[in-house]
Order: sequence, then structure tokens, then C-alpha cells
Amino acid sequence: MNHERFERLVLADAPLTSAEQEELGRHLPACPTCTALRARWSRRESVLLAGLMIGPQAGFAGRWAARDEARASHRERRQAWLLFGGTSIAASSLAVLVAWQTAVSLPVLFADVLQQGLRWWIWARLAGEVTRAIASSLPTPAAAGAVLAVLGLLAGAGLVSILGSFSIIRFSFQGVRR
Amino acid sequence: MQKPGHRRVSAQDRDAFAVLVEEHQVAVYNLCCRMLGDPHLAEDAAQETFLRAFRSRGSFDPARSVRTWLLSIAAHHCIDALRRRARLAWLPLGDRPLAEPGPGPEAALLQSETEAELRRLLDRLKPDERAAIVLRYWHDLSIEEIAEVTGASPDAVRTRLYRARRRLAGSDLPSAGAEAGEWRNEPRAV
Repeated sequence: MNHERFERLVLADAPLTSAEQEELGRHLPACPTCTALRARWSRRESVLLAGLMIGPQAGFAGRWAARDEARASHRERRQAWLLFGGTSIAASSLAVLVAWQTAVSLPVLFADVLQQGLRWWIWARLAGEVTRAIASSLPTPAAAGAVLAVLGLLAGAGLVSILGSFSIIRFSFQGVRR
Repeated sequence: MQKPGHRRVSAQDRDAFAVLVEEHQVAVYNLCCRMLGDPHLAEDAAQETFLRAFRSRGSFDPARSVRTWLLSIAAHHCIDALRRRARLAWLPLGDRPLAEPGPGPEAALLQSETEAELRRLLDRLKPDERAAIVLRYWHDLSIEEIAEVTGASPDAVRTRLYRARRRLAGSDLPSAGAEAGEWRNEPRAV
């Protein structure tokens, strides 16, 4: 005999229709398997129905609020550490990059500076020789005048440089007033 | 624009939500307790449910019932926990009493016997079947409401309830949980 249909009726969630009740009523007295199933299910269902609603221990909402607060503060701390870590890594990477670039270009820079200094020194020597030659060929008052004119020019250039530097420093620290 | 779940939580937000916690704590805790079978795990799961709900309150649909929403979060959390536990080890449900004893010693004994039998019964069920049975018998939810809570179709819920009842009525109860956790062994290859 196929019991599946009757098993479904015995374990049905919704109330049975009168036709189904009648059908099951006819089947059960003739079928000990389905009768036993019905008895077992009826016993187990009564246990399920006897189960109480269980509530948590007093102060559940307070414990929840405390846990949420702790979790929020933990999250904030973690975010701060992540930000700090990220910034540190970025800064370290930048520092390494700059150091590496400097290390690579330092010999070239040093050679350039040396070459430029040597060039200036040669030009200064040449200018000195030329000036000395011109001065020796001129009469004494004219040579003195020329030297004084050159010195005046140099002093003027120096003054302009000092004033320019002073202005740059001042505006750098104080800002430009509109 | 910041998402509501990620914005800084003010004390007022938390206090307002605490009212909701007070209102639904028994329903959520009971579901967790019946699902996990251990009061300590249930406390953790219920707390986690409300924490998740609080963090995702911005995405809550006001057309939906708050109770269904909370039960849904709790059910999914408990089903995940049970599956994780099944993957990790064969663990029978705890033997700690779930409910506070009643007023008299007879009532307490009866209650504890009923609770022990209930635990043995529920331990026979798969996590999704257990959720369906608990929601049906303790929370009086309809098939459609259980479907909404568990995220399954009404037909799937009917099938789960039928299978659960069949499993529960299948044979006499073992005395010390000999059949307990039988579903946990099902996926394992022997």
C-alpha cells in the first residue's frame, strides 16, 4: 500500500478538508503504520507546543548598547591605525625614492658643480689678467677711475642682490599683503 | 554622502534602537536559543542580530515588519552558525537548561524534562528545518512569513516543514541523543 499520501495528510500543516478527514478516517483503522505515525507525531507535536518562549537574562539591552559602543570604538581605533599605517608607508616610500634619486644623481651633480667652479675660476683669472693689462696701459688717474667704476658697479649689484634676498625672505614668512 | 550604516553613531541613535531591542529581545533570543540549543551561544547570536540590524538600519524597508526583519537576521545568523559548527566538529547541543524553572519543583522538573525532550527533537533537524519549525511553533508565523524570514519560497518552506515533521515523527526518541546531529554527518564522505 502507498502510505505517502496518508503520511502527508497526517503531517499536514494546514487543517484537513472534510473529504481528506474522511479519507484518512477510512485508512487509519486498516493501517497500523499510519496509525503509529499519527500517534508519534501527535506526541511530538504536543512537546513542541509545550515549549515556552525563552527570554534573555535581565539587562540584555544594556549589554547590547555596551557591546555596540565597544565595537564602534574598536572600529574607529582600527581605522586610525590603518590611516597611520598607510601614511607611514607612503611617507617611507617617498623618502626611499628621494634618497635613491639623490644617491643616483649625486656624483653627476658633484661633477657639474666642480666643472662650473673651475670655469668660473678660469674666467675670473682671465678677467683679472685683461683688467691688469688694460690698467697697465692706461695713465694712472684713468686706471684709478676705471677701477673705482668697476668697484661701484660690483657694490651696486651686491646691494641689489641683498635687497632682493631680503624681500624674498620677508614675503616668504609674512605673506604678500593685498 | 555617507551610508547610514557607516556614519558616526550618536548616543540618541543607540538609545532609540535600544527601545526596539527591549521590544523584540524575547522573540530574537528565543529563536536563537531554540536554534543553537545553548543559552550562551544564544545570547551572543541575539546580540549579534541586533548589532547587525543596528548597523544596517538605513537599508530597512519601512513597509516590512520589524519583527520579521529581526527574525530574518537572527535565523540566517543561526543557520550559518550551525552549518559552521557542523563543518568544524560533531557537537551535540548543550545540556544547560534553556528556560528558568517554574514556580514549584514539579513544574520545574516537568519543564526541564520537556526542555530536554525539545532539545533532542530539534537536534534531529537540519538548520533550515529547525528554523522553520521554531518559527512555526514558537513564533506563530504563517508559511508566507517564514518564507520571508528565511528567504525561501513558500513551497520550499512547506517542504521543509513536512520533512521536519517526518523526521520528528520518524522513530522513538533516543535516550541520550544517539541520533542527535544525524544531519551533520550527511554531507561527509565515508
